[in-house]
Amino acid sequence: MSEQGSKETPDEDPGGPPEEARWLTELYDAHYGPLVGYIARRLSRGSLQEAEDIAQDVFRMALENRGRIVRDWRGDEPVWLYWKAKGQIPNDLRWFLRWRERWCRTVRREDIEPEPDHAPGVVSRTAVRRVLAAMSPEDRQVLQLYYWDDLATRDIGRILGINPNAVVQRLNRARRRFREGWAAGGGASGEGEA
Amino acid sequence: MTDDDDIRALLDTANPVPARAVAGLAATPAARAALRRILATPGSASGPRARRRLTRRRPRGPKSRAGMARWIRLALPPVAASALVVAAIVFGGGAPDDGGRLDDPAGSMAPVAAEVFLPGLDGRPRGITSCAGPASGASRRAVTPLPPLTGYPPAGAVLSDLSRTAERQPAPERRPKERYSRIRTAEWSMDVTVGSALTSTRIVPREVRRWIPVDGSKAYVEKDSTGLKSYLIPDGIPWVARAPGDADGVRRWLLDGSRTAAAEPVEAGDTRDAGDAGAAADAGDTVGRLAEAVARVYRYNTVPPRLAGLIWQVLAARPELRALGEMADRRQRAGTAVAFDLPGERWVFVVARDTGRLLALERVLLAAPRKMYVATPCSAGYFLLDASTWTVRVGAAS
Repeated sequence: MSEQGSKETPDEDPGGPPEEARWLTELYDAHYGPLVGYIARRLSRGSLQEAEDIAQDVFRMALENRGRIVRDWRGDEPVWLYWKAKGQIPNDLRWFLRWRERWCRTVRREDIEPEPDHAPGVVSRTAVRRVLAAMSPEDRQVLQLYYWDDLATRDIGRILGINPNAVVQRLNRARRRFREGWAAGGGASGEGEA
Repeated sequence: MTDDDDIRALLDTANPVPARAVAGLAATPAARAALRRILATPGSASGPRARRRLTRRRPRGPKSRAGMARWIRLALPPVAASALVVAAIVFGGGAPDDGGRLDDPAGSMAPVAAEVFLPGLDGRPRGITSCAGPASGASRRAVTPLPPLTGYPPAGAVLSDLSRTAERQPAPERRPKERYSRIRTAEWSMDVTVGSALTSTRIVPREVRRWIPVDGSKAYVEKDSTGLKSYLIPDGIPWVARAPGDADGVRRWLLDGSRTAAAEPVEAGDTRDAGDAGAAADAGDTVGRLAEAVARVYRYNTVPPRLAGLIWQVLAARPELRALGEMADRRQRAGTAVAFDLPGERWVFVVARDTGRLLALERVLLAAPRKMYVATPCSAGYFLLDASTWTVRVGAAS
């Protein structure tokens, strides 16, 4: 992956300042895939393609705002990508939902790309989702950022705009509630699911 | 089931997009092409301030003078707001529709070049740059005019060849479940703000995906870098589903759509779609109306190869169309160029010689009022058809 990326780097600068192109290309190589995953997990009805579109918009914005990012997010440039993407997803969905409501007779609801169905979980995908669904949005969010997106608590804090210590507290609380939910039956009924 | 590892293992099973699903995504050809497009976006390298200025839409400006406003309405696609005149010229592009079913080839496409090269009479290409001009007359410069089209051979034979080529292409059928055309274009619009003391032009490059119901329903969905939006579909679009099967019928079908579209209001608050209907329809010229209708057909439809062939056959009968010769479009796709002139501007269709697909439509301003302070000839807009296919779902990749 990185090998191919580095090979193409010289072609990817169409004449703009090389420093900007190099900066963006390094960010892109290292974080494009994870960012697409981050966005796709939050698009309730979006496809991976849709997530890629949003991710590309975020990188475009990064290039446009490079000066401010380098100044205000020095060392945390990748976190800026997630922070920005977080704001893009609701915008997209809001537009989309509004449109769908207005024009449902034109474009059928069921024609919207559904959430991709990934490989069946070994044991308990549905049960885990049921436990997550029963949790508060704040608890669910921090669990997903920590376990699904594999982000550090400090980065989560910057993305959510809260103190890292508060993230740790929220994460501990979310873990506890997840365990409780699982023990209370959310997991038991999912055992054995294909 | 109680410690951190267990929680991680459980949550992994429910992760809708596991890390392995996106591993190496940045190295895929499509992702590399996307990166090249981002880096090549005009204005992106010049910093955030310049970019914001480029993308700001519909600026407020001083009141326009009547004469200038009239010229703008005639020579450029329409649009006017009360106290200002903003001409938004939109070119959407033609598209290499790939014969009706085309997988998105964006991954292998070159970035959009800022300059297009038209074949000259001596065979040497002539570079045409953007009309985006300074807001001051001081830097207006003289540029050699383009050669008159009468120096080029008539395009009848070329278009007939393209027609036959298109009709030989495989013609996949649209499946009944595929209710939407998914059309991907790169477009460039020019906003002109005219005032008593100040005129400014700016370019707004966009890469757009549209999902358009094939039955001509009233709305479609468009996605560009600003997000997902819905627009009303103007009346008068020639819908492929209703296209006749013979050349004469196709000519009437195109002209009917053009006549209706010329007076058609567009979506409230958005004037961009009016652009297509602008100069060509106002000119009252048949070839202009035909060309405008062709642009609309490709903008809102996935065009099967047989219909593409009939369209070229219709245009082949028009003596105003001239064959410029071979040229590459802004994505460096080889094609053959066919052009005609309208008052003050030249339209150039770029068609793939080996498939008969429309690749691009270029609009070149040949003359502009002095107050526009642009050096003509210059590119007032383009429309590159990157992909066009049918799809079952909005937002789906195929």
